[in-house]
Amino acid sequence: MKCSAFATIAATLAICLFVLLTAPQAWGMPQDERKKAMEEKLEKPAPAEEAEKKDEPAKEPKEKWLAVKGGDVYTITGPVLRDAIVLAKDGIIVDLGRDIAIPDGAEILDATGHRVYPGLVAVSSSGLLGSEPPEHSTDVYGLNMILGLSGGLTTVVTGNTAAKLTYGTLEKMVLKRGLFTTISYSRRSSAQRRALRADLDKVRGYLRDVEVFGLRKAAGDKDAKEPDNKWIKGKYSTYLKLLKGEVTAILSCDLTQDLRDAADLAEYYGFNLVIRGGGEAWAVAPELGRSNVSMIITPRRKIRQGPSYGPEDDEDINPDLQPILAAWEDKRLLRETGTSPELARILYDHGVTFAIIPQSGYISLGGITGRDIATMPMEAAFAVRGGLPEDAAIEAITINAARLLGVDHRVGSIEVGKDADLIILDGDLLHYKSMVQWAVVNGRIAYDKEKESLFAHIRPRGKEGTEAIPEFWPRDLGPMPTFVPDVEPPVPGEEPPAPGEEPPAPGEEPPVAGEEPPVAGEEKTDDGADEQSPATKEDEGGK
Amino acid sequence: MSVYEIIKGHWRRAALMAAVTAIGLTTGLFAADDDKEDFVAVTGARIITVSGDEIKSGTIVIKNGVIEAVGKNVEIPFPARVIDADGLVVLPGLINPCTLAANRPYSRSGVQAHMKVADEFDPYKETLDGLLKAGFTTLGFRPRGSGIPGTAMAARPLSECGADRVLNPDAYVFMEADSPSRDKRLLKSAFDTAKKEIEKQEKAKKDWDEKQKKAAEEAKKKAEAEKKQAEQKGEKKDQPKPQPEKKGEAGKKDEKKEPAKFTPPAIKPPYVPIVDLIQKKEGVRAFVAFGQASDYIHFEDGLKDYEFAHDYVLRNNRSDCDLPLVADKLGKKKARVVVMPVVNFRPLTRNRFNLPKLLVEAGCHLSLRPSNDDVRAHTEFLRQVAVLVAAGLDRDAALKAMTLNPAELLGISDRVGSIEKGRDADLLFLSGDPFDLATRVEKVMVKGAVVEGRHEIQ
Repeated sequence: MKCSAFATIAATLAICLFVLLTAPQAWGMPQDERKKAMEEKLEKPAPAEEAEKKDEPAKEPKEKWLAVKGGDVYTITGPVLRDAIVLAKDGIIVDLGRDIAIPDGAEILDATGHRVYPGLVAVSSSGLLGSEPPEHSTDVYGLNMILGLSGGLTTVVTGNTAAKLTYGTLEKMVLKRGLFTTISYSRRSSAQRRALRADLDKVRGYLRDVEVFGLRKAAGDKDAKEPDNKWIKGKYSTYLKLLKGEVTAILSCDLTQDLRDAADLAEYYGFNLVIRGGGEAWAVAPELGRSNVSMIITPRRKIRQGPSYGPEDDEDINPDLQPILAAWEDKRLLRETGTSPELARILYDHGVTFAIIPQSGYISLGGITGRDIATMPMEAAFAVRGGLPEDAAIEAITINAARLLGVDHRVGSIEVGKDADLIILDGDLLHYKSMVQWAVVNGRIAYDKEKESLFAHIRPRGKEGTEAIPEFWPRDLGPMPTFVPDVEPPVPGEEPPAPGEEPPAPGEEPPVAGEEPPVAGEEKTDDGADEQSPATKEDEGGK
Repeated sequence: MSVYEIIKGHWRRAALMAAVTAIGLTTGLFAADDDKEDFVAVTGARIITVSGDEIKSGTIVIKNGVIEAVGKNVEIPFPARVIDADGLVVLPGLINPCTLAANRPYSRSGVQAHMKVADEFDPYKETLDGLLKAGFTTLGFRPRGSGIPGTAMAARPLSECGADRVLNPDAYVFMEADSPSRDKRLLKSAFDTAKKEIEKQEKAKKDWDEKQKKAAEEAKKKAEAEKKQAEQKGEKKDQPKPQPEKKGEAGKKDEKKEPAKFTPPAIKPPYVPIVDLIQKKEGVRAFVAFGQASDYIHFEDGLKDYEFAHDYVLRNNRSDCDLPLVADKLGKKKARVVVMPVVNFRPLTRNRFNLPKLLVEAGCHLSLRPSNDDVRAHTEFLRQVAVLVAAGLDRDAALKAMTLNPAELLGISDRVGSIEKGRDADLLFLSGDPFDLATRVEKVMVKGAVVEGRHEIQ
């Protein structure tokens, strides 16, 4: 017995040893070995790929790699990865984590000390991209596109299309077309409400007929007739798609009664509904949560107070809804409400999916500046002031907005397999001081703050007090053109220092002098030959 | 004097001559034209040949309006009018490849590529005198309008009729790509339609070939059957007479069918030049005009399925000009670009950039054109280019960009654009270096003749 027990122990030990020796991967490889293995993997393509390469060596497209390393990666749908690498290949995130081998020739973006977020998603915008179709009219070098990127946006909705702010290119610009079907269901027009319900009833009846026909046919009923579908065109085909769940309806309303009715309608007919506005939605949050509608809200918004509806207004409501409304005796919810800074928090508590959008979809430099699309994180931050958790506020401008548009499989979070749309900030996304330092769209650096003359001089790379603010304005518009050669020495103390004499900014070479004497100002034309992307405007950096 | 009068006068003279002898007139005229050797020699000038080296003090010998010899030690033929150009600088006549200076105010939209400026050109426009005075001896007159408004013409700004005026009636097809939302779809649909037209022709050709084959086979079968019949009948020897008749008829039919030529279905006229572009017909090119970097991206994206010869006209005189952003892309393509001699401010900055310089450095084939179609822009042109040169544009590139390069764009570089043997003697006499701001135009010569009354500058 003893002998046999010893033998079994020995055997198990031997097996363990064997496994340890032969399959180190299963037991956790040391870091450098793993790296080596990965590098080897990268260097040696799979045999199948090799065969393909042999077949057509000339046609092989060059892979474009981008590695964002050193930053704290806020994945949104997962944990925060400190000091991690985001590796993108041809615009798609292929790897995420700490110990990742960066292939040779990869473009490396050093985000040490910065935070990496997914690019923000604006569920409505205007002026950033051209009118529909955006790939036919967008100014890809436009100022609004730069300003949108500087605000952290990478995906925006223009018209009924979701598209990306692909600076300088039209490649992979459009994400999804035909996002929403607009419906109207307001108490102001009872006829309209009746008509919508009648149409939806008709289409639902047709869907039932189709189902019955299918069942009867399956049961072998020869008398089964296929329901007539000739009338399904125009609005009916839209409603059919809606009831089948192929498209999402969008509806604008703010008042409690309208919101409740909309929620009931969506629940009764069972279609996907997005409600835009929802000023008083905090008052009917439980119903909204139950009916599974999504919302687009603006936390900082004042709405006109609506009229109070009494139960006597309910006569034109769908008879199926009457008992629900009759049971509703809480008169508090029938009176005027208005907006609340707690709107987002209350919706969140009741499980409503919502996206946050500023009041203006434009890039606005007048009027409501600071509440335009370029300051979307500030709008989300205002929801935090009302009690919304910070994570939820960031979700409302990233993944939830993407879900609402039906593009969450591509944008809205940092995950392997998703598009490499990243923004890199010098601080918290919701902090008023944080600025977007880089924006990556489709694995390509679309925006670099240090290369943009509008922003480069403001806290370069998030560092405070490194630059004295020049005394002249506009501040960073490059070196002053020298129209007159320096014959007379400047009187000290009176004139502002000429830009040529300024101490060079850190990390920037002093201006090259003496190559050619300046002639009548024309020599000062800067060298923009290598200015394919704004990343190479040399003389605009941090002065 | 109008065309009518010329024609009228000519007829009168012809009638008079005809009264003497018709044959004598024609032979005499041609003989006179051939034998007449008109020599002009320009001496002592500093000659900027553009295509070759600069000659400090050289001589140009012109025979019948065409340059016969250029060089330092060139023999002047004896009966020659000598123009003493000592101290002057001689340059090939300037060329503006893209102007509206002499168009009648017809503006077209949509695809109208078959419309030719050559058919609607107004040679009596007063501006043309001014342009000639400013030193422009050749102009590319583009059509006016949006979309593809027509085909441009290369001509001299002369009001006299004659073979010397029009240099190339089909210089280039002009396309607007200035507003992507309007033009992108239009250009794409134009090329798509043209492609369909080509496919239509190819299909017709295929069908025709098949039909011919079938017909030939049938004819063969028929012939064989007839042979057999004939043999059978021959054996019977019942009806000897009708046989040769039938054979003869069949033979005639065959003869008629064989020379029948394939006539392709006609292409819709507006799309003919576009079809030529797609089929890369020699000498057919397009000019694509736009003003912003984004327009170029849209143009490339819209017509990425088509490869055709095209050059770019950049409208770089706007205050928000951002064309340096695509200078690299244009350079990589070795694109041939026409730009205005303007130094721009980079948008939102005080930084200036010299777009022509950037384009040349990126590898583009540069041509310059005045920033406007009026006389003033043309007279200021040399001074504007001088500013560009002072701001770093390569001097030789600038000289070429005013003369030889635009001639190449217009497809007439074998006639104008440089001073060498065989080229037309379109010369510009300057008082000093072309890029000296104090320089002025002294004389303008077209086809060996100094343009009278057009060179007095107050």
